[in-house]
Amino acid sequence: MSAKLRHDDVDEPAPTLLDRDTGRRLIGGLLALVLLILVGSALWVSQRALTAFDDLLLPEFDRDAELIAERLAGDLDRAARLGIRATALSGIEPFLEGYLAEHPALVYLGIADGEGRLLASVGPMAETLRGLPPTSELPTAGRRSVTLTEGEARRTSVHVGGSGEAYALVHVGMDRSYAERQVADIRWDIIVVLVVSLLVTFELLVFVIDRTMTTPLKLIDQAIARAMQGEWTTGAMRHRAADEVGGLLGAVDDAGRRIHERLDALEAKLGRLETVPADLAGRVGALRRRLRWRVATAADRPVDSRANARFALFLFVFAEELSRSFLPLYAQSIHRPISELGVFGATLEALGLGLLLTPEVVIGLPIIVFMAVIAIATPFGASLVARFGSRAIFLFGAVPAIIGYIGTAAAITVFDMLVWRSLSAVGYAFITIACQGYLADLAKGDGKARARNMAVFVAAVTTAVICGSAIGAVFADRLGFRATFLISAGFVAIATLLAARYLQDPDRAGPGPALVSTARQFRAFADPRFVALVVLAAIPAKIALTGFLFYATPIYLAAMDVSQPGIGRMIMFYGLLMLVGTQLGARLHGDLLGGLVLIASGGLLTGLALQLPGHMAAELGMGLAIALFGFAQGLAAAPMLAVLPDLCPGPSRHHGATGLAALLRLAERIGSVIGPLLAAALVLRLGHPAAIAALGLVSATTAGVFLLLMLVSTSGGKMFGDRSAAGKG
Amino acid sequence: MLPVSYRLSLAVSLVLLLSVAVTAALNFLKFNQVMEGLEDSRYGFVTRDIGATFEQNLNLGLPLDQIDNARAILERQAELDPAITRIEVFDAEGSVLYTTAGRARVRDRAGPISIDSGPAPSERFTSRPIVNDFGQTVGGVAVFWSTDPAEARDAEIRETLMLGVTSATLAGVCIVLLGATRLLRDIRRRLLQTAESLHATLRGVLPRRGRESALAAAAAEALAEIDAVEAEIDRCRRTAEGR
Repeated sequence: MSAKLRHDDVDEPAPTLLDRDTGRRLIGGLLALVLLILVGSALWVSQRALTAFDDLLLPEFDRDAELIAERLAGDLDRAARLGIRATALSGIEPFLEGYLAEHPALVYLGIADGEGRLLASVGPMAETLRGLPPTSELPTAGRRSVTLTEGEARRTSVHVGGSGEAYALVHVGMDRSYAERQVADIRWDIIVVLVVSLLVTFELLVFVIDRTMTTPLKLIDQAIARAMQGEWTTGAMRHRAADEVGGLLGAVDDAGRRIHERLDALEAKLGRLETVPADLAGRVGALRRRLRWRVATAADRPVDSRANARFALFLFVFAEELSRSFLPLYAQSIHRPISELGVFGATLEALGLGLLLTPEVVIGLPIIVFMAVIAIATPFGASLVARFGSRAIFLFGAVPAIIGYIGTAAAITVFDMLVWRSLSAVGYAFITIACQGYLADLAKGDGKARARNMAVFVAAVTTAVICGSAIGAVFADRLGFRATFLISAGFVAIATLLAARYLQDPDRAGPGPALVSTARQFRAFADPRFVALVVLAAIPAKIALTGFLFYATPIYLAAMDVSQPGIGRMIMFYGLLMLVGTQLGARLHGDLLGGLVLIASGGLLTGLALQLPGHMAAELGMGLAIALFGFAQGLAAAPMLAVLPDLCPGPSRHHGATGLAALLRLAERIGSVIGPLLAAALVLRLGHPAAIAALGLVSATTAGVFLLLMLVSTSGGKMFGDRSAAGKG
Repeated sequence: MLPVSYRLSLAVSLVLLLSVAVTAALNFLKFNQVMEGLEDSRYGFVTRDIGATFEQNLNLGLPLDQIDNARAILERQAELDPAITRIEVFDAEGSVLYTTAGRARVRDRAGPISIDSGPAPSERFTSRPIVNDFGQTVGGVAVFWSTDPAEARDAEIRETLMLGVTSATLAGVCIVLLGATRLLRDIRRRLLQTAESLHATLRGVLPRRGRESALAAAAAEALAEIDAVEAEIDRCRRTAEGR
């Protein structure tokens, strides 16, 4: 048994009962099992659904075909009553062309004489009708209509004329695969639901295993380690569920109590002796000192764990990301011209904002305001977390977040939506910083543990981005934009309940980190290399992110008639490829120069990616652009933080690498605010493809200038002077 | 004692149920979307066709309210589709000029007259304006259709999906339960053995061979020390009593 245990789970020796490898094997095995079951169940349910769809859709299609055929037959019947021979009818093809446009599934229309000889036919698959063999089944006076599948088409033929000789035959062909195309989106949606289910299951499993296994087993290990040192506790987890873990805890409790009772009895016996030999009294005293017993206190509460913050954070970011693929589209749908906004509109006009607030800018405002409020609220959130603790600020932040989502769902115009989005942004800033604070506190000053905990933060956020954007688009497609915001509110409520239950602030090893004054923080901007990194790398990356991905992508794809789930899937590629890029960036990053090259490569690749929509088939170009953009952003993400200590040694010493990284993250939000504004202005002037290309040029140019400056600076060491190197920044 | 594997299985089963239910719900909603699109397209076609027929009459110089065969046109169109509950043609002010509403289609289909007093079918409708040669809107046509057939279809697909969800979940839960029990067997065994050896120690029995644990050893050692001191106290007491 290992007696060397620490409170934190990060660097302690492997627990005896559930070591790290066993834990990983368990999660891996369970995930494989879940994968198997989820894939099987989804395929089973979907196959049943698709078969049922086919069974129900086919008669509906036949009904449409019959309806069209009957209409045509009605017109021909009038000609018959007027005594015009079918073969003498003129202008049939233009007449049929008019009908052809009436139904998207029509592939041909044709009219034949009473003996089945084709008189006229139109449509993309009219050849099929012309090649109809004479033996084909045709309607007769006795059987007025016939419907059957012939190759790719489903033909419905109707007999025109009375019960005697046929006057004419009407043929209507429907595309057999039209129904399949109609439900094809479902297959993609099923894949999306599967991927999301798996990722959610992974997050949930990590949480559940932590709560049901890891944490109680760590408690037992702690109890065992203490027992081996002679310290027995009772009652710490007596109320726990009566499973194997609870059973063992109960046994430890019993042992502690038994030893305590025996010691009490021993002392009583000793007290009853008339004369107590000194050595015996000494032995009992020594035994009492060696076998300590106490009732568990609050200090023996469950071990703090990263999983406590991880799942709640995942759910919260997931809720926010649900609207990623349609926020500008929602704003577009409720946008009303300023002239229709009554007194508010008149006030805007009077303030001279009428010309500035073009529809393109107005629909970008929800993103701009959201990002701006996050930038402003984050430092306040950090101060509040330091003062009141992570749990309190998480719960506090959930209130405006939920109100914000409900308000956004009920928004009347873009302008009242801004108020609601601002509230959600306050919640977002507070909750993310609360989770960051919790994970940082958990590391208890250990730099490596802190880095690993931040990796947990990034992993939870990235997973949530991938899941949220994709499934949110599907929800929006089926239930509408407003309902999706209500779903977001629901998820935030669940995350809040979890945080209230499990997010207990860890004991700090010492006093909390001293708050750095804003003025002192901003002194870092005196370092030219830090300024260059912020202005030429971090801010352009965010401009591209919010301008291209958040603002332009949904609007442009919707304008191309890409379905809402399709938009969500494309945005999901961003998250997936970013994950790949992040891993590669972290692997490739070596020395300072390598890091700088990676950062510049990210910018240059972004520039390249954003040229694709203008030079390729629009939808394919956008898909590739989003994927490459995600990869580029990921490639530069890790090096951008990793180069800080070497690139800006002075500010790093003053603020610490983490403090400087936080400052970088705060400053780059300027780019998040500028992005949609710049994109809107560019779209207004240049249209979507050119505007996206222009955003790419901004990224590529700044990346090029950044690399040049850094190469000159790091090789010559003179361009920025030696201030940073000397630590005077 | 509720095994840990059951609790884990419960959590995984909940996710499974949620996932399968979401898959089914999305399938159902997509089906609804496709069917509504089909109906809109179908009755949009009917409405345009009727509108075009009336516009042809207007082109011959007839005012909208004086088309002799108007009622017959509407009746013929309505006959083609039993789901159509009524068709109305109205003038520019919205007053109904012609309608098929008197056709009592519910009664026709349902049989006994008493059914007439039952609830009317829920309806959806589509409409389009009727425009004369000069581009003026002189009225419009609206086609109403019953949503009863759609509801019947929905019920059918719901039943299919519910069966699918139930069977998939039941099968999944069984597999999860078996799998989780197997995966957790080792840990469970270790936990039970540790508890058992500790209990055995407390009962003063030696744990079975191969089932000893460090915890039980620590407890045994503590109790042995207490026993030793207690024996010493007893010896002192007996010595004192002997004197």
